[in-house]
Parts: sequence; C-alpha cells; structure tokens
Amino acid sequence: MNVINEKCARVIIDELGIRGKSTAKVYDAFWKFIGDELIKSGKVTIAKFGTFILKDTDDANYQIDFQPDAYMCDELGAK
Amino acid sequence: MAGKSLSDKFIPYALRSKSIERGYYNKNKDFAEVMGLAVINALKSSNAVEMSKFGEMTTALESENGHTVRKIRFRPNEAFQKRISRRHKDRIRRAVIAKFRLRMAAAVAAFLLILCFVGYGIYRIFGADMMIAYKNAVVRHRLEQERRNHEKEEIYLAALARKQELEEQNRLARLAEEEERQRLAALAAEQDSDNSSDADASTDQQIVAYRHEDLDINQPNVYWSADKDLVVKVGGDNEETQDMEKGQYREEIVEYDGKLYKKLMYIIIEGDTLWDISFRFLDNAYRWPFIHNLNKYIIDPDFILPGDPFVIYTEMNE
Repeated sequence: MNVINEKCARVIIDELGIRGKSTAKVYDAFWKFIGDELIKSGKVTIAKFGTFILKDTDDANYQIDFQPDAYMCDELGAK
Repeated sequence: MAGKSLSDKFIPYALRSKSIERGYYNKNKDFAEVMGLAVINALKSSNAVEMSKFGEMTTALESENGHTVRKIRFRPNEAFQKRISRRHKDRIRRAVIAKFRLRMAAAVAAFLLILCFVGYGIYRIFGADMMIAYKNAVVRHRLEQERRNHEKEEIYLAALARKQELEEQNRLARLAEEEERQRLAALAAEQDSDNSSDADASTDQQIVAYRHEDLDINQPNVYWSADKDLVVKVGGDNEETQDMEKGQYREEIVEYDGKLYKKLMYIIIEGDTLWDISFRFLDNAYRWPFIHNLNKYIIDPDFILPGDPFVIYTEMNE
C-alpha cells in the first residue's frame, strides 16, 4: 500500500496535475527510481532539494550521504 | 548536447511501470524538482517525511559550537541499505577477482619473460653446438626419410617383380598346359592309330598273330587292323605263357606282311598297374588304354591280378 504525506501529495497534485489516486504511486516510483539511479551512478542531484552521494566507508560498506541544497536549507531554516 | 535530466529519465520509467498515464500530467514541470518541493513542503510541518522505500528525511535541532541549529538528515530505508550493501560486496568480490587475474597475468608474463631470458642465455652459451646438433638432426631425419622412401620403392619394385614373375609362371604354365593338352591329343590320336593299326585284341589270355593269308578273318575271335596289316586270334593257344613265372618278360619278333611286329608277353606280379606296364614296355604311361584294349579279359583296368598274362603287339619302325 502506498503511503504519502498529505502535504507532499498536495504539492504533487497542484504542480503536476496528477489525480489523487495516482499521486502515491508516482511518489513511490520516483524515489525507487532515485534509489536505482544512485546505485547505478553513485550520485544523484535533485534541483532545489539536494544531492545524494554513495560513499565507501571504512567498515567496507556503503553509506548514503545527503547534502541539502541551499534552497532547501533556506526554506527549512537549516544549515 | 547536455545529458538527459532526471525528469527526462524518470518519465519513461514511470510510464513503463504504469505509475503515470500518458497525457495525464503537466509536462512543463520538472518532476524531480516538484518531488523535492513536496518533501520540503512536508518537512515544514513535520520533522520526518517518509520517501517510500528509499528512506526518510528528517529535520532536528542540534547543538553546534554552542548554537542550536536545525539540521537536515537522511536515513536510508533498511531494505535499501541492504541492497546497496549487497552491491558493495559484489563490487568487492569483483575487485578481488580482477586483482587476482591481474596478478596471475603479471606472474605469467614474468615467467615467460624469465623463460625468454633463460632461453636467450642458453642460446648465447650453447648456441653454436645446438645449431650444429639441430642441423645434424635435420640431416639425419632427411636421410632416414630417404631411406624409408627407398625401402618403400624397393618393396614396390619387389612386389612388381614378383607379380611379373607370377604372371610369367602363369603364362608358362598355360603354355605347358596347352602343350600337354596338344601332346595328349596327339597321343590319343596315336592310340587311335595304334588301335586301328594293331590288332583288336581278344578277351582271352592268349592273343596270337597270324599272317593274313594263314587266317580266315571270318572266323570268330579273329580281329584285324584297319589296313589288315595285323590280325590276331583271341583265345588261341596259350602254351606260350604257361611256362612263364610272375614278373617274367618275353619278347618275340613277328613278321607280318613285310612288317615286323614286336610281341611282348608279360606275367603280372603284385604291385603292377596298367600305367606302370605301359610305361615300361611302351615307354609311355598314357598308352595303358591300348594294353587294356588288347587284353579285354580285364574288366576293370584298376583291378588286375598277379599271374595273369599280358600280350602286347607293337609295330617296329626299324
């Protein structure tokens, strides 16, 4: 079952014009796609959101590092 | 030309997975950007936003250098983390294998290099001798090949000669056979001549030759040759052979009509055959039918009894 935050869904519906029931499916598909892209290329940048980077850690494992975009930091008042 | 944007890649993916339907979305908007904005919008009212099976985005107040600041953190989904860990292990394994192959290739190359150096060194030290030995080996090999070829040729020639010899033998055998056949034919003709010229013998033990004038040819048991040059009376007086022993031989000359005939009388002994007797007295073993013809009391020519007399008349040429 696809679960989506109500405010997320509102933005998607408003901006993309996608109907209510498909919103959660698109949202799920998008983040799954981002995961695949990240594994494939090791780095994914989303405009006005941030960059996901796959890093090789010392304990012989992968770790996902996220660097928020300045726009995001401004919007959320974060550093 | 710039590479495809994230949205350009995502839209075909979403269409394939039937997450969106063609034409039912705003094409002027960037999907990725909108998704990011959606998460940001949700984070404004909530500290954590779930990003499906990818992870969770959180905001929290943290202390940094004595100041409290808001930090944005991303925590990957547990299943996703396992997925990338598995990928990481695969990558490590592949790297190990690649390294091992590289080392093996390097080791093989080094070995070959060393081998080349060693070979070159040996060639430099023993090169001349080796070349001589090699040339000698080549020469020996060629000589051996030539010898084998020569042997093969000799065998072939021997076989050819043997074949020719056999053909010659066959030809001579055929000729001899032909000559023998002709000789036998001539002999048979001669026998016929003898049979016709000699008297037709009687069936009794005694065959007596008479002069033509002295014998009435109309009497029974009187036979004559075609030219009537020999007349015999069968069953005549056998006193001539009564006093003869087994194996004894007696010869008389009989004159008849100006010609001389040899009268041979012989008593059979054990072991005699018509063949032997013909060879002995007529110098020709093949004339045994002539003897059989003159001594008609012999029913079976293969079965003659010791003690029985033989009487043979032959024309004398001289």
